Amino acid sequence: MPADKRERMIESLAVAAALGFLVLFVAGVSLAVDSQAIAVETTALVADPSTISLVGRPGDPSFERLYRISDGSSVSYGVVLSLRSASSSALVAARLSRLGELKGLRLLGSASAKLPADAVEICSLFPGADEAIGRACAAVRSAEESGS
Amino acid sequence: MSEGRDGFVPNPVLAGLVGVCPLIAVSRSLAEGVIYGLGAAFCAIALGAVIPPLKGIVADRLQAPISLALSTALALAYALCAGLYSPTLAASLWIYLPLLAVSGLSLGALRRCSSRERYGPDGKSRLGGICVESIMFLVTAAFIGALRETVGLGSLTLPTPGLRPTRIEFIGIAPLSFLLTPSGGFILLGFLVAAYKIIVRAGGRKAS
Repeated sequence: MPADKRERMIESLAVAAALGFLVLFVAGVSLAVDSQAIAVETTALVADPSTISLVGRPGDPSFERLYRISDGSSVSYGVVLSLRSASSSALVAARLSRLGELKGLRLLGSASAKLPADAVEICSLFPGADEAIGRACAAVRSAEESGS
Repeated sequence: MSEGRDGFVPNPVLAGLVGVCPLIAVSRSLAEGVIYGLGAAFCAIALGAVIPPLKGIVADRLQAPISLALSTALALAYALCAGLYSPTLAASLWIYLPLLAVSGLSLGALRRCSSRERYGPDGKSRLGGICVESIMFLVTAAFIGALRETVGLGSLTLPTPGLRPTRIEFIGIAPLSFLLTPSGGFILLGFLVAAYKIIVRAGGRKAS
C-alpha cells in the first residue's frame, strides 16, 4: 500500500474513533437522562413505585415509555403523553385499561397555555385527584344549577 | 451578515432573519424562548470555540463531517439536559431542540469558522463575533416569547426547573391568543423588524 494512502487511512480511522467516543458520550448522557425521566414519570403516574414497571418503548413521538401498573387485582397501563397544538403544548399522564380504554388523565405541566391545572385531574386513580375532582365538579355544578 | 467597521453587530434575527422559522414556531412563551435561545447560543459558541483549534489537527477533507458530528452531538446533549431541567419545556420544544444542530446560528458559526476572512466585533476575532450574535439571538428569542405570551395570554411563564414552570398571571383572560400561533408570531416579527430598522436608521447605522 502506498505511504500516502496508508496515512489517509490512519487519519480516517483516528477520526472515526474520535467520533465513536463522541457517540459513546452522548449515549451515556442519554442513559442518565432516561433513568431520571423514568423516575419522574413513575412519580407522576402512581403514588407507590412498587406497583409500576416499565414494559415497553413504543417509539412514538408523543410518548416514549409504556408502564404496567398493578393495583392489587387490577392491571392498567400508564403513559406520559406530550400533547401539542399550533399555539400550546402540555405534558399529560394517562392511565389506560387493558383494552386501551382511557381511565383518566392528569395534567403535569404546560409550557404556555392557560389551562386549569387542578380541574383536569379528572381520574380518582391519581393521588390527590379526588379533591381536584370535587373542586372542579362543584364549580361546574353550581354554574349549571344557577343557569337552570 | 457582517459587522461594520465601527464594530456594530446587526441583530441576527431582526436584521438578518437568521433561524426565524423554528424560533417563531417554538417561542410562544418567555420560558420556551429562553430555553430555545440558550440552546442556539450554546451550540454556536461551542462550535466557534472547538472548530478552529481542530483545523490545525484534522485534514481539510474530514473537517465538514467532523463539524456536523460535533454540532449534532452538542445539540443532542443540550436537548437531553433541557429534558432533565424541565420535561415540560423540552417536550414543548420537541424536535426543534435536536434540530439546533442545523439552526441558522450554528450554520453561521460553522461558516465563519471555515472562512479565511477574519471578522468579529473588533475586526479580528471570529469567536467574539459569534458570542455577540449568539447573545443577541438569546435576548431576542426571550423578548419575542415574552411579548407573545404577555400580549397574547396576559401571563408570563418563567423557565424554572421541574414539571410545572412558574407562571405569573397579569389578567384572567387571553386578549390576543392568535399571537401564539405561527402566523401571529410572524405578524409580530414583521412589526419588530420594522421597529428595529427605524431605531437603527435613527442611530445613523445601516440596518442589515
